Amino acid sequence: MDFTVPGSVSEGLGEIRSISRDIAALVNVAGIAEDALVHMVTAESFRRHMQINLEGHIQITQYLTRLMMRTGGGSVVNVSSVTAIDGNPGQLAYGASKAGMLNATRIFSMELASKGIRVNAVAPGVIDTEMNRRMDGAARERLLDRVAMGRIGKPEEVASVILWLCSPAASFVTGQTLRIDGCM
Amino acid sequence: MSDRILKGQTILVTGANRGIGWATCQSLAANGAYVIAASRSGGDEFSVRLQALADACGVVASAVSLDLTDGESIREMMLFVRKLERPLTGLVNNAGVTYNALFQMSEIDTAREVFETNFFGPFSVMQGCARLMARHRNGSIVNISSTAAIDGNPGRSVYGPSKAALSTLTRAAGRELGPFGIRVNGIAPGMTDTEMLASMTDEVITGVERNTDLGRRGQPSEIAEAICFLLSPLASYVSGQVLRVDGGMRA
Repeated sequence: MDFTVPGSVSEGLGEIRSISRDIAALVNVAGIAEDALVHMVTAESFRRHMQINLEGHIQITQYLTRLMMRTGGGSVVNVSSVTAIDGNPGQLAYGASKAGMLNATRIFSMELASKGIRVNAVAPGVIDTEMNRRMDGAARERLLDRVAMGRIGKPEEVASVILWLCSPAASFVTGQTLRIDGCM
Repeated sequence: MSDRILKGQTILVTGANRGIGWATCQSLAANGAYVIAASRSGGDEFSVRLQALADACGVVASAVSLDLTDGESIREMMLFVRKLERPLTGLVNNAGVTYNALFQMSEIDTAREVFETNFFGPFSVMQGCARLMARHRNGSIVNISSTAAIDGNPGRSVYGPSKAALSTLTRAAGRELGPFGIRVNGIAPGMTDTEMLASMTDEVITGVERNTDLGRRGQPSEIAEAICFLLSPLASYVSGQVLRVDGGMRA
């Protein structure tokens, strides 16, 4: 699936449907981050963030939660970012798209919880991913200074929280955003 | 989770004999933890019930007596914990009292008593436990707050602030104890099916349920599952957070 290519999402969804109509959980992870100071953010870049980080996920969520409703329920986890809550200089477009995801999380939960679908979000902090490896050393150090646990998070530490939110153990958790940030 | 995610851990639970506290003991034991169950009014019945639980789950459990309004009682409990051969790895600050009264009708003396149990007591227990956890640089603390601490509900002008104090402590302690390998988190349960519900009218209860995404109240076991998650390695990078387990309560 390529969120920027017209028709790609519906094609991908059709493929998913041909594999299984019994989807238990959906995790919306894909995202881009093109950092720029506020006056340097181009309309194209802003649109790209909205298209990939927000619109694409909403489209997929609309489609798959419809399938979940027919099979008695499911769980959705959206991967947002602490930037969506705290704001981060240089991340106007990224922050706006990720903040949009948090509001969408709340609305999807309000409308779909009664249909047996829980919808939650996680907001990771500084995680050892390719997105963060692009950061220069000094910027990384500055960020880590703000993390009480004093270390960068591992991708699997985000995955384990997502797994839990998808599981029946989280049966009374919906509409929430959980920060995974080592206490920033 | 089907795996025993707390295997090998030693976890202290306050207010362990009923409601969310007892459900927590059950989940902890089922997840393989050694449970230290503290309560004020436990008695023999509680010891028997706890032993049966431990046997059923193949773990060890100890009942200890605790009065959160009595500093000496807290010291005695901490002494018991310190003398254990296994290091303390977790604390669930669950014990609390409720108080429903309109703001203008709230008694200041009662308000102080509520803070004694809901804030100062847990504060001391946290201090004692964090000291032990810092020695081996490993620990996870979960404080049970309330959605009332965040939302500010009518009739809860004492209970809400007492829990809000605990939530803020959660965040402050998370920052201070992070460098010592201790995670500190909170849970804010929404309306949960415990004895505390008896203090609310049916009308209020139905109103809250209607205003909740899932359209129902929570079960103590559902709060307990969230507590186990935060204590476990699954939440190894989660600290300083207060997770609402409220079925999607609307403002």
